[in-house]
Amino acid sequence: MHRAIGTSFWVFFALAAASGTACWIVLGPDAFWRSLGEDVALVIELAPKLAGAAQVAAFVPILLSGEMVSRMLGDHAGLRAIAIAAGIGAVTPGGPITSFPLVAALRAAGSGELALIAFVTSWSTLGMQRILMWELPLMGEHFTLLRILVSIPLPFVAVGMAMMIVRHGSGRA
Amino acid sequence: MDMGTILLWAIAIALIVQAKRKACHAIWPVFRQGLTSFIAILPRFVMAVVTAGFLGKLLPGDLIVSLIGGESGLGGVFLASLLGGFVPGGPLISFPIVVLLRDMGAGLPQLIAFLTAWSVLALHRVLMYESALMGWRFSVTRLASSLILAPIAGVAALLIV
Repeated sequence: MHRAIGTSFWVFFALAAASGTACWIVLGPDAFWRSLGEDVALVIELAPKLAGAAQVAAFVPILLSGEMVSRMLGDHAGLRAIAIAAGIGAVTPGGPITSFPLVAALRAAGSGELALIAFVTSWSTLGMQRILMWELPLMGEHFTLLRILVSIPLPFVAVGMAMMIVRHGSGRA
Repeated sequence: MDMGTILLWAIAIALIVQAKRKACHAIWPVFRQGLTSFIAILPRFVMAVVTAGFLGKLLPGDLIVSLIGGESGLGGVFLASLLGGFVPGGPLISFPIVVLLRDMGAGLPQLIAFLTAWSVLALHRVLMYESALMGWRFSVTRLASSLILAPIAGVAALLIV
C-alpha cells in the first residue's frame, strides 16, 4: 500500500506543477485559475464516488477468495471452462499484484492455457472492481455500459486467436 | 447526489451486509482498510486531475479531434488502439488521460479502443508481473492473441453508436 504522500505523490505533484507553470506562462493567470476552479468542482464531484468504490474494493476480496475461484474453475474443460474462466475473471478483484499470483496458482492446479488467457482478458477488460472504482465514476453510465457490451466477446476472441497461434506454432515445430 | 454515487454506495452497503451475514470477518477493519486506501489515493488523484486540467488547456484540441474525434472513424480507432497500448501505469494514470481526451473531443468508440488497448496490453504489467509469474511463452501468446481486441471493441462501438 502506497502512503498518501510518498514518492509517487511527488511525481504526480511535479507533473501538476510543470503543466501549471506552462499554463500560466503560455495562456496567462486567468486560464490557470479557471483550470484550477474546474478541477475543484471535479474533485468534489468524484471524491464521494471514489470513497464508495474504495469500500467496494475492500469488501469484494473478503467475499471472494482465490481458493473459491480455483474451486469454481475446478475440473471443467473445453468451451465450458473458458466461459467459466471469463466469468470468474470479471469478478476477480484486485490489481496485478493479486491477480497474477492467482493465475499462476490456477495453472499449477492444472488449468489449461486457453482458460487462463480467457481469465486474464476478462479480468483486464471486464474486471468489475476497476469498472466500479474508476470507469463508472469518471466516465459515466453510458460510456461504461457501451464499453462493457462491446467487451463481452473479447475473452472468446482472444482464446480463438490463441488457438490459431498455438496451432500455427506447433505445426511449424 | 447523482446516480453513479448512489449506485456505488448501494453496492458497497450490499457487500458490507453480505460480509456481516457471513460473519467470518470483523467488518470494521475492512471498512477502515477501504477508507485508508481512499485517503492514500486521494492526493495523487487530485494531482492527476489538476495535471489533466492544465494539459487540456495547453494541448491543441483541434489536433485531438482530427486524430481521434467522433468523426475520425476507423482510422481514429486504430490510432487510439496503438496509443492506448503505450500508456504506462495503472488506472490512476490511464483514467485521467481518458477523461482529458474525452473533454478535448475524442470520440466514444476511439476512447473505448484506447482503454481496451491499455487494459489488455499494459506493457508495464507484463514486464513487472505477468512475465515474471507466468513466463514469457504465456505472456507473448496472450499479447499476440490480444493485439486485435482493442480495434474489435472500437469497431463494434463504432457500429453501435
